[in-house]
Amino acid sequence: MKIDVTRRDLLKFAGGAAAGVMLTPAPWKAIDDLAIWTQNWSWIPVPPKGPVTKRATVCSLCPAGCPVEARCVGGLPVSLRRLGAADAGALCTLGLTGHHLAYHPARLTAPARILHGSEGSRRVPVPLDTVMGAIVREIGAAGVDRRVAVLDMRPGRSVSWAWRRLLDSIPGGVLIPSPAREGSSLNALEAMKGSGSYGIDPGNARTILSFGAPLAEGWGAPESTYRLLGGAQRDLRLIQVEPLLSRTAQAADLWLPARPGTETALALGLGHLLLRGQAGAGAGAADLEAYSALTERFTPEAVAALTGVPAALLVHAARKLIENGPSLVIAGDDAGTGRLGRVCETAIMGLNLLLGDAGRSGGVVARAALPAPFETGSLAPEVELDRIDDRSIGLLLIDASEGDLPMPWRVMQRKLAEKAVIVAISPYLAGTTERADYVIPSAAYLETIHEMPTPFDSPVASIRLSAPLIEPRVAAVDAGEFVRRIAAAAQIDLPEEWESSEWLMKARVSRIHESGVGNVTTPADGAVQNVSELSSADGLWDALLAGGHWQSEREEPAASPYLLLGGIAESRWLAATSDRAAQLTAVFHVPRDVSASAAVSPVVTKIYQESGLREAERVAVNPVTAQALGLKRGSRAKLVTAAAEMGVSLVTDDAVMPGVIDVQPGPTATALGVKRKGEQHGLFDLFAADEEGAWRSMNATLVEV
Amino acid sequence: MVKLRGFAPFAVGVIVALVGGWVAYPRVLYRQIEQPAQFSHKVHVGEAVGLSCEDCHFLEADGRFSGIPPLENCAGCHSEVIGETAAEKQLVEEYVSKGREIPWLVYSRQPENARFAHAPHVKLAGIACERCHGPHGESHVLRPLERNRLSTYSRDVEGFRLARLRIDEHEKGMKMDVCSDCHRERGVEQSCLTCHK
Repeated sequence: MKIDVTRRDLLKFAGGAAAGVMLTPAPWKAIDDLAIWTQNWSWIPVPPKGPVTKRATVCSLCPAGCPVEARCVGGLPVSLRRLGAADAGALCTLGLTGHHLAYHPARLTAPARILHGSEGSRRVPVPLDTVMGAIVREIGAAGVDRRVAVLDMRPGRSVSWAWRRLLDSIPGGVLIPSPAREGSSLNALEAMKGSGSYGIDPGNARTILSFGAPLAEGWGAPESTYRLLGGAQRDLRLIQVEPLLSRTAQAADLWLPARPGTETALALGLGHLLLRGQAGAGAGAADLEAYSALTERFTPEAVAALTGVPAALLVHAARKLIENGPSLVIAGDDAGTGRLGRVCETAIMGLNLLLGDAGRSGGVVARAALPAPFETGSLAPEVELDRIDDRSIGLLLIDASEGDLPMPWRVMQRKLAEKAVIVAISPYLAGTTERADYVIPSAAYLETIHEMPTPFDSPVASIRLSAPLIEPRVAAVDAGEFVRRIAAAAQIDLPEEWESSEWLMKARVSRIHESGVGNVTTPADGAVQNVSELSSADGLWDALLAGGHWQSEREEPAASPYLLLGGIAESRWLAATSDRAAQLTAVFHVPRDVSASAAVSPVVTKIYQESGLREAERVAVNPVTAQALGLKRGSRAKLVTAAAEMGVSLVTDDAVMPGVIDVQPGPTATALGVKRKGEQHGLFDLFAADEEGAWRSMNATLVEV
Repeated sequence: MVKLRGFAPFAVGVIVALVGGWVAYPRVLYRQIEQPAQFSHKVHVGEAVGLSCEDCHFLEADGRFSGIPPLENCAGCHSEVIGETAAEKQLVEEYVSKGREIPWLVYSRQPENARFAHAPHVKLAGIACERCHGPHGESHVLRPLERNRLSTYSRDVEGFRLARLRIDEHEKGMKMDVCSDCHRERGVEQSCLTCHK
C-alpha cells in the first residue's frame, strides 16, 4: 500500500507532536534544568569540600569588634556566628555575612586611576609607582595653604600612629578622624576638661539620656547595648530624644520628640533645671556664672516652644536624671548620620559634668590611652574636619583599609584645594573611595590581621585582633607598608623601621605586655588571664590572635576644673539655639548595618529588595504634615534642600513627628551617593555640613510632581 | 475512513512525542557514569563480614556525618587481596597499595546552595536511612551514577520517576519539595536559611 505523505500531513504531524510533547514532562523538566544549569557554570566559584572546622576571630567590620566563630569547610569560612556568652546577643546582618565581602563585586584588584566624567567614572589600572609619583608631587608642593591630610576611617589603630609620624615630616600634614565615626562627641569632654581621654560606662548607668543614639539599632558595641536593653539590667531608665519613634525610642521609658536641630536648646534647658534641682551642680566649673547666665533663658516653657517637647516632660526627665543616678548623657553621633555638631555636643556632654557623673562608674569615665606602637615622639596633630580651613587640602589620602564610613562628599569637598589629588586605600571601590583619583587595593575582612582598638563606648582601654582565615584574593597593599613606601618615595626619614601594619601591631602589643597592665579574656570560655602572668609578648599576641580581648584597668578620675561652655563664644550658642519651629526639616536616618561599611553582602540587599522593607529614596512624614503639604501616601514628590533636590516616594507614618521629613536610604551605603536614573543627585547630596560639622538635618520642602 | 486518514498524522505526532517525552527524554537526559571501583554492600553487611551501616557511615562526636569512609577503613581488611574477584584485585592494586583515595561518585550529593545535617534527621526525627537512600545497603553492585546533563544533579536527588506515580519514598528523590513535604508532615518549622547557605 502506498502512502502519500503530503506537506499537510507533515504539518499535522508537527502539530500533533507539539501538542503531545506538552503532555510529557520533557519541556517542563527542561525549563527547570536549564534554570539550574545557569547556576552551575564552570566559572562560578564553588567552595571546596573538606573537613568542617571552627575557628575564632574578631569581626573588624565596625569598631565594636565582636568575637566571632567561623565555621569553615575545607579551610574556608562558610558561616559566622557570635562567640561567647548567650546573653551577649548575636551578630548584626553585616557581621553575619562578613565572609562574603572578600568576593564583593566592588572589590579592588589592582591600583587604578579613576577618571571621573559627567557620565560616571571609569577605572584604569595603573602601576603603583604612578600613584606614588602623584603622591610625591603633592607632598613636594605641601604647605600650610595646601595641606597633606589623611582621612582616617578607623582612628586609634597602630597604623594611625604611623600616618601621624609620616605627616609630621610634611608641612601642614594633618590626620583627620572620619567625621562619620561614632563617639566623636567624647572629644568635647577633652575641650571642656582641658586634657585626658574619656569613655562611657553605660553598663553601670541607671538612667541614660540619649540624644538620638540608636541604641537598639546597632549603636556602639552590640554586646553592651543588647545587655542594656534586653538583658538582666532592665532596671535601666532610658530617655530618648529623637524626632522619630524609632526602635530605640520604642524601647525607651520616655520619648522626647524634639524638632531636629533643637537638641542644643533641649540640653541647655536640662542644664537650667539641673542647676536648680541638684545641690552642687557645676561646682567645679570655671565658667559656671556664664553657663548659668546662658541657661537662664532656657526655661522649660521656652524650651518647649523651641523644641516641641512639652515642659512637663522636660521637668520629668531632669528629675529622673537627678533621682535615679548614676546617670549618663550621650550624644548620638552615628556612622552615616554623622555628628550633632561641636556646640551641641558640648551642651550634651556638659550635662554629665553637671550631674557629677564624670569619672564616676555609670557615667563618663576617664580612660587610659592605648599604648602607642612606638615611643611617642613628634607626631602630626589629629584634627576634626570642621577645624580644617576650607579649600586647604592639596593631597587627601583616605585610609579606608579597615572599611569605609560613608558621608556626604560635599562635607569633604569644601575642604579641598583646587586640583587636589585624592588617593584611597581600600578593599572596595565604594563609598568615599569612589571619589578618589587613585585607588589602591587593601586586604578585606578575614584576609589579613585587622586591629580593633578601644571602642568609643568602652570604659577601659582595650584591643582585639581579627585573625585572617582566608588567603588574600588580590595583590593587596598593606596600609603600614604603604606609609613606609610613601616615606621612601618622598625621601622622608622616619625614626622607626616598621615594615607592615603587623609589625606596628606587634610593637603595640609588646608595649602592652611591657606595662604588665590589664588582662586578656578568652571569649569562648570567658577565662581571664593577667598580662603579667604571660611570659612573653608573643604569648599575648597569640592569645589576641585566638580571639582574646585585652582590657586595661579602670582609671581613677582626676578632679580638675572644667568649662561647661567649652570656651565657645556666646554668638555660636545663640545661633545653635535659634527658633526653628516654623521650618520643615529633613532628617537622615541610616541604620548601622548599612552605614558601617561601604560594601555589604548581596544577601543583605536582596532581603530588602525582595521584601520591600526599605525602598531606596523614600521619605516618611507624619499624616498631618502630608495633609498640610497636600500630599498623599504613595505619591511621588520632589525633596528640595538648599544643597540639592531629588525625586522621592512618600509614605505617611505616625512615628515621625509633624514638621519632619524622615529620609530613608536604600539597602546599601553605596546607594547613598549613587544617582538614580533620571536624577541629578543622590540622597547624600541633599545634606551639607553646617558650621558645626553636622549634616544630620537640613531645612527642606516637599513638592508634588 | 477519510476523516480518520486525515487525523492520523496528528495522532502519530502525539504518540511519537509522548514516547519521546516519557521514555526517550529521560534516557538522553541522564548520563550514566560508572563508579571507579565496585563494592558489595550485601557482602559486607551480610553474615560473612557482619558489618552494620553505622560501622562505616557514622556520626562523628560533634554530630557531623562521616559520609563515605576513607580508604583506610577498607585497608584495615584489604591490605592484601582477599578474594578472587576483579573488583577486589582493582581495590588493592590501584588504591590500597598506592595509598590513593577512591574517587567515589556520591549519589546523594546536594547542590552547593544547600546544606543537610544527618544528625537531626537520624537521631532526633528517627528517620531510617532507607527513607531517602533506598535499599542501598542490600545492593550487590554499585549502579552507575545517573547525572543530569543540564543541571548536573544526580538522579537520586532529582527522583527516579518523572510522573511520580506509584513510587517508593526514596524514589521521590531529595529535592526541596520532598524535604518541605516531610517537614510539613512532621510540623517542623522551616525557613530559607534552614537548608540554604
